[in-house]
Amino acid sequence: MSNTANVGGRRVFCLLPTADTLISGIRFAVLADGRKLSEPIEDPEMVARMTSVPGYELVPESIDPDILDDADEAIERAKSASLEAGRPGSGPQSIDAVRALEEQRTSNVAMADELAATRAKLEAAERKLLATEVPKLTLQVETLTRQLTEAGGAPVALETEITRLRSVNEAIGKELADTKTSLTTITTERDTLMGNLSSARDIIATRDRTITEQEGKLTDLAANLTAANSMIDDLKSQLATATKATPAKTSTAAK
Amino acid sequence: MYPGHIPFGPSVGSNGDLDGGAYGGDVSMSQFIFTDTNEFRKAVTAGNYETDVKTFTGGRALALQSIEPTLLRTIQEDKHFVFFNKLTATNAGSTVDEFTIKTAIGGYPGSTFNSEMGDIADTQGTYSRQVGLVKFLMTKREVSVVQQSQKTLVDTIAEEKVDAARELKTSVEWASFFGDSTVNPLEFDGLFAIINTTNDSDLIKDARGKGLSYVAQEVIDLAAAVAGQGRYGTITDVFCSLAVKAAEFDQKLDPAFRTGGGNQKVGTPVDGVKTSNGEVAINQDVFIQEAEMPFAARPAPFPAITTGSAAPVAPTIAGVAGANAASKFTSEHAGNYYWAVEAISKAGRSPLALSAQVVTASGDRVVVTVTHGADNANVATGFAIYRSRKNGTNAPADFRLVARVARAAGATTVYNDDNQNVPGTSPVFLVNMSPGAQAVQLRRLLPMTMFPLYPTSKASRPWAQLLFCYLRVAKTKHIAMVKNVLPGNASWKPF
Repeated sequence: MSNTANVGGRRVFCLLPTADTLISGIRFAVLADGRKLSEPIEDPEMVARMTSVPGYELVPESIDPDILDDADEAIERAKSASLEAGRPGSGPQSIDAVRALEEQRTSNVAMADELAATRAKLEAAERKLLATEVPKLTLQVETLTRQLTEAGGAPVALETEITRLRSVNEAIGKELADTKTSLTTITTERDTLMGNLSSARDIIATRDRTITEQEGKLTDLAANLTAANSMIDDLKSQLATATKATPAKTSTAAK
Repeated sequence: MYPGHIPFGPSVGSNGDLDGGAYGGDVSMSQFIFTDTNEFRKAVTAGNYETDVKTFTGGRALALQSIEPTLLRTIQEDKHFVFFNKLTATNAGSTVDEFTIKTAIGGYPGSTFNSEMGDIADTQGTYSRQVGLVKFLMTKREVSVVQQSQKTLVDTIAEEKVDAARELKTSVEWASFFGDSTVNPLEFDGLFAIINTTNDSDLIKDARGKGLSYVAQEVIDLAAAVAGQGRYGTITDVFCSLAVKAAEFDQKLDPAFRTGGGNQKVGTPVDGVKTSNGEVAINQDVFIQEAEMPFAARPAPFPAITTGSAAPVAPTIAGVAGANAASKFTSEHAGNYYWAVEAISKAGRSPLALSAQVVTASGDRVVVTVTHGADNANVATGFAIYRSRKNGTNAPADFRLVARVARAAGATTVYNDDNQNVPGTSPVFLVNMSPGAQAVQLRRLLPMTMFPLYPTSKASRPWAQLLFCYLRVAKTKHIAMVKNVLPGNASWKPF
């Protein structure tokens, strides 16, 4: 089979030492000199991307056609092997398809969420409106309007009620002024107490850290103590053995 | 002695003295010389370094075993929990811990000037209620009655209690830096996640896979940013990896910027950095690391976690490069890369899955698509994405962590690798740890507590050790980060 470098797309060399035989979905064949030669690449952006990276070179037109033939055979073999092995998701087309599908799915989910949120807001607003005093007040206003129209003016009872409410209002105003004065005093006291509280918190925080450190040390000491106890037991045991093995002095004296 | 006998050593008299005299008497060395090889073979010997006690014979069987009476440990100790030890711990009253922050007093510099009878501008402070979620750290230990009855080097229960406490502290220390509740909802958020979420460009510096300045420019600039208008904070502490401390501070920082005075030279350990906003202590923390390799490439017990009962099913991964304006891949970074992924479940990792090689040019974004594995009992909540060196191999040991990402709804999770996170680097955290500032605190619902469990049909003593807490960063404007720092002594370089 005869071949030329750029039939069906451009070819590139990859000179990088750890280059694989499948790079970004493009198959490469390993040449005898260690360089890797690509299959024809139809996507000009991919060719531009590869040749912009140090270690990639465009294949010259003058390349020996036998080299291309050998490379194509090796690439075909690799493709067949890959089909048999089944490497899903590694080709650029399948990756693009997966991505497009996922984007569509994400977009659908987002739109559904938005719709659900808007519906929920509308329902909440309707519920809120029904729960307020508005419907009741509207009814009241309608009743009063009807009464006024029918009676030809405000009833005497209503004027009396207004006077009473004014006096109540004055009393509340006075009470409010007194409360404000008392609030100023309380606020000053509160600020003083907050200052004291902040100092106390600092002291507590320092104590907390000391306690944590001491807990850690105590735990270490407990472990050391246990080890020491174990050593003491061992020593006691050894002492007992040694005592048994030593002849009694009294019997030597008797001799 | 009988005729022809060739002694094999000094004989011992009835009184225990060496034959030939009392103590201090001469012992002839001729007694040790063997002339008959058969007699020599009968000598009681110490054996040939046998280690299986059942096979001990001859002199080896008589020998007492030489056992070091103390347990020699190469484990983390309390001194290693540097951040934990510096944190102020306060108590939370509920699993949902509320606090209120004030971020402004109202107005702006010059806002109060007014004409004699002009309308006075109305203004007020800015307040907001914040919520923190207490997380539950637990470990279970169990010691059999048989083990308790044995004579051991150490008290097994005491030893296990200490280990459990340290396991809890290890989790708190790690999560305080790298916890991310979006990846694992059971974790609390650490400084890295909080700073990235706040995403204040004044409080994040990017070393882009290089080292730090020899004049501490990053620390000084970030300390100034935190002290500035609108933040009014003070950076008191830096937390960095051991390699960054050694190579980027101790062996690099100009002595003029070091605290402590004295005859400091390049190479002297740096205690702190002088800034116009106060001295900043430099703390090295063993839980901040550059070399976050896949579990499959780490020493035991990590590889077994990827095949154990808690492991989720492995996903698959593919990368596609395309030009993108957000890319931080420059011509210096252009080359061939591999990506790899591990699924993360509550207590395990999946086996590592590798991508095909991807050629990445300057200005590229690599869209890394993780296709989820089938769900088993250990549902993956997130993924650890790894990247190889530029023009590196796809051996597991040649990958370093790029990011941990939450699992997306649907069949795939997409991570856009713009080279914003450089693998093989570590972040340097700058924190306001002043106790009075209450900027960063450990909020505990339950201090470290031992909770007895009950053996149902076993002769053992099981118990749990518990710590319910979270890292409360009340003042997110008082923490900052230099990310992607590559110490000069790093053996694995990303580019």
